[in-house]
Amino acid sequence: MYYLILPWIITIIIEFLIIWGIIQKKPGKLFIYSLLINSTTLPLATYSFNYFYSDLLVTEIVVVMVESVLLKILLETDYKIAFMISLAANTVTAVIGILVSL
Amino acid sequence: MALLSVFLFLTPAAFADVIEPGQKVITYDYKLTNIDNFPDFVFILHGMPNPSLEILNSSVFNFYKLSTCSIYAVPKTVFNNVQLDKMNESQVEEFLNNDSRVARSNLELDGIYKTVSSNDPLNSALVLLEIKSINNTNLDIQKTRVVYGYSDGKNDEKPFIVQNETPEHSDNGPEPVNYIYYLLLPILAIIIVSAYIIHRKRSK
Repeated sequence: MYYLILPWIITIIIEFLIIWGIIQKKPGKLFIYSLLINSTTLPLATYSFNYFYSDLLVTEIVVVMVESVLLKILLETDYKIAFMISLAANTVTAVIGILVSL
Repeated sequence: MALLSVFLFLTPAAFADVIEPGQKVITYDYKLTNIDNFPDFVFILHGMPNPSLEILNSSVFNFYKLSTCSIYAVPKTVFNNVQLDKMNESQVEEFLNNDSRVARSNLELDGIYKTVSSNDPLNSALVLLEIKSINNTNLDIQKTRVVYGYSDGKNDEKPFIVQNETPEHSDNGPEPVNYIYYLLLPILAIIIVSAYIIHRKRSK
């Protein structure tokens, strides 16, 4: 199960740092948000990719959309900002993932 | 995000033959189960782009995953006379495909079974072949069963109903303990987010 837990922890930390870098307040609260958001999207996306539809781009697009909605609700911000944060966070984790795999 | 999860456990080798991230290729292994019943013949594997010439025995064999191969039966006396090892590739091909002393099978063997998710427990696919008969230039070989091997050491054997359709391996899905992550964790997170939103609205 470690191969599922490790990327989950790394993703939570990276996305927290990106959200915190943009919002720049209440880091504790933002960490909890990152934990909750990634605990929702990452397991479902991984399961879906591994067992239903193995298309990374589509999976990433769906994840960005879902995380945008969750960020909008939790951060009480407008959708455009939530989308930008989600897009940035997921792009960074994707790039890190690619670099790690090389 | 999802990319990170998928990429973290990939090896660089996975990129060598343009495999999509998060996937692995399951190649076929083959075995001639009753080759010992035909001691007067030499069985040869020949394929494109390779191998040019491989002598088969009762052991498991495989070949380059992008090759397509055929099996040929050459009488031992002929084999000893023609000295295939001294022929170049085109001469070997000419001999195997046109010589009247060679028995040919029209069974084509593929290198790849399928591409599956890297988390799929499937590890191997062994096709068992049976030589039915050798008559002049006709070699009748049939696929009888396929044995799938999984990461937990278990095997799963399925018979061939139609020769050119490999029976599918059992899709065992994730290990039960992983549902804590796949299912329980997101449900718990959604409940907490919902409760938090409701609480926040009531507080306003």
